[in-house]
Amino acid sequence: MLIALFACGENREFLQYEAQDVSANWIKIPDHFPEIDFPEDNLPSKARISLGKQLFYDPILSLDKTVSCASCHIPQYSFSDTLALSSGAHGGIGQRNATALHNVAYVPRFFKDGGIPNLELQIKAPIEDQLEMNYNMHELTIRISRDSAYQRMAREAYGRDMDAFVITRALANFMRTFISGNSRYDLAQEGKYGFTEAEKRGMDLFFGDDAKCSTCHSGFNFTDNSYANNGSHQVYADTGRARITLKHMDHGKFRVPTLRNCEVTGPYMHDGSYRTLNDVLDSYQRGGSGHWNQDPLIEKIVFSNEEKEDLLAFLKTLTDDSFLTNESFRK
Amino acid sequence: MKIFSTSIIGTFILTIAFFGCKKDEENPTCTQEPGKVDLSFTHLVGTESFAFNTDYTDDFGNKYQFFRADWYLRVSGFVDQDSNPQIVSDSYYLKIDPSVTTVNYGEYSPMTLYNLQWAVGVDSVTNHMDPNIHELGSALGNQSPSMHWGWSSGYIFCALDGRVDINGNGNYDPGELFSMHIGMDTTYREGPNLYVNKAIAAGETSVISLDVDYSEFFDGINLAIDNSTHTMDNMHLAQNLANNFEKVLKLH
Ligand code: HEC
Ligand code: HEC
Repeated sequence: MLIALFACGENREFLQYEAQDVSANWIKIPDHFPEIDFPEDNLPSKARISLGKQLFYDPILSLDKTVSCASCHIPQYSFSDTLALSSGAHGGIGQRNATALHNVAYVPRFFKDGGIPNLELQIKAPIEDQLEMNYNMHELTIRISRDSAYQRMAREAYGRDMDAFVITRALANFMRTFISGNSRYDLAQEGKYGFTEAEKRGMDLFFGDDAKCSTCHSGFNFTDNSYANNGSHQVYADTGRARITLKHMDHGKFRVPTLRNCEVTGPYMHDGSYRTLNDVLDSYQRGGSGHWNQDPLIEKIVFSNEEKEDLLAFLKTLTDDSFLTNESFRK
Repeated sequence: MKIFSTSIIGTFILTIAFFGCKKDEENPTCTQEPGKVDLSFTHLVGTESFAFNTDYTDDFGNKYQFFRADWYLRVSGFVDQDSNPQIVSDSYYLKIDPSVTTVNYGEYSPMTLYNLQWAVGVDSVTNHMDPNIHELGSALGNQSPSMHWGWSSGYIFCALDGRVDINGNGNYDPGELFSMHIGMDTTYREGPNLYVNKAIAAGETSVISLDVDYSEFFDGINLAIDNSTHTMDNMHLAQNLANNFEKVLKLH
């Protein structure tokens, strides 16, 4: 505090900008969520978030100016889309289902194979992917620098001209505001919602030793962020984590997805090959495909139809309507 | 463009230093007046000069042409005859393509430079840093066409694209292409030291002339058979190319 005060006298202008605008507090997180680990060079500020939002919805980021981030990451589907495969997948490494982006601030490694170490770095991928925005960061920087409104916003947000640093940092800042922690499940934890009998039975199944769902889908975000082969396929055209590690033992492993808002993020699995949650539960009930690298936790589950309905009812308590309809995420 | 403007600034500063020195001839610091070092590149395919969309022949008699030839050169410094460092420039990277002719390597006190240390690619620490932190126009910043995969694999160390007459009918039929995009930490290669033996003279520009031979990338590779790798999808071919990196740069 004392240091800050002294420093303030030294360089008033700079520190006012720092102190007033840049603070972790710009992102509101529920009490039962952990702190966000922000990168040092990209703490949030109002100006940074609003610049990121502007970019997220702007097709100027694509070569032919027809595709924006929001073309595939749509707010009411928790920033996923309804297609099995987006017209492309990042990094030119095969087609994948567009990932929901809620609580992306907590993701330790990005993409379903964990190929990207941080959110800021991830952004180059869709912009330069031929099947997505088919553009180029270098060209984009030149194009966007000509826009005086963007230049003004860049200076306000980061105190520098519009460049690749600003584009990637601002988008990451906007996406880190996608905090979803106000579902019926969360409200029930705070005693503000009472589960129905079916939901309660479903919850017991989910956290129980038979279905073992919560061994992988664990923690506040319903994922342990590990990579697992859950036997969703007999043959994996997309070998997942093995593409990054080149290891046989990682064949068909994908990052365990968060199950929050899963009611609206279908179709499911890395390639969107499961149309409904029911299809997903059927697969777990069968004990997966029996793929040679399937995780031993995935075993045949003896479910009655009623129990399956209960599990489904529980999964739906993870839907956060206030997040899906949040106006501050919209254009 | 950038290279041009940098060299003008360089010359300007040097001129002032020279005159400044003359005014006070007893000043011992005069002997410390630096000299400028330029690297100059001649781009070749074998013994012919490099040109895009021009026919060359690989080691197996296949006709081919380039339409893209981009790569990263790291000049890590100079060492003397006893391997003692003379100049350390660990983070000096150049994105080389056939349009790059002369680049400034900085200003140094007069001495004789002996062995140039170099590598093709980007070292494993830098390779996993965010390219977006570099300013527009710098070698490690964003390039067009891109020299980065946008994911953890990092930079594309070399991107060679073109046509190859695979069926030997004399034409480049549709689809008769080669595409070699090499990267990942395991393909980074240091070249053998180049014995330049060049004196840096006070107030002057010493030019180190280098040849880039693009045919060496394909040494021992039959382009009719092995013509596509994006590294991960054909690691074997990628390694074969990487093993040729050390032959690509020579003294002029
Ligand atoms: C054409 C559709 C499409 C567009 C456009 C698109 N994405 Fe994606 N996005 C995807 C797909 C598909 C994935 C999953 C890729 C994978 O896991 O390999 C994904 C994954 C992501 C992820 C990783 C999430 C995680 O948890 O791993 C982030 C973050 C993301 N996109 C942000 C963006 C941003 C920012 C933009 C705009 C610059 C954008 N996307 C544009 C389809 C798209
Ligand atoms: C061994 C770890 C593991 C266990 C146990 C497990 N899952 Fe999964 N689950 C995964 C992985 C990995 C994926 C993603 C697979 C893919 O992308 O192809 C997944 C995907 C899902 C999806 C689709 C989500 C989406 O966005 O595509 C749902 C829903 C799901 N699991 C629910 C469950 C339920 C319910 C249980 C218990 C019956 C369960 N999981 C048990 C690892 C596991």
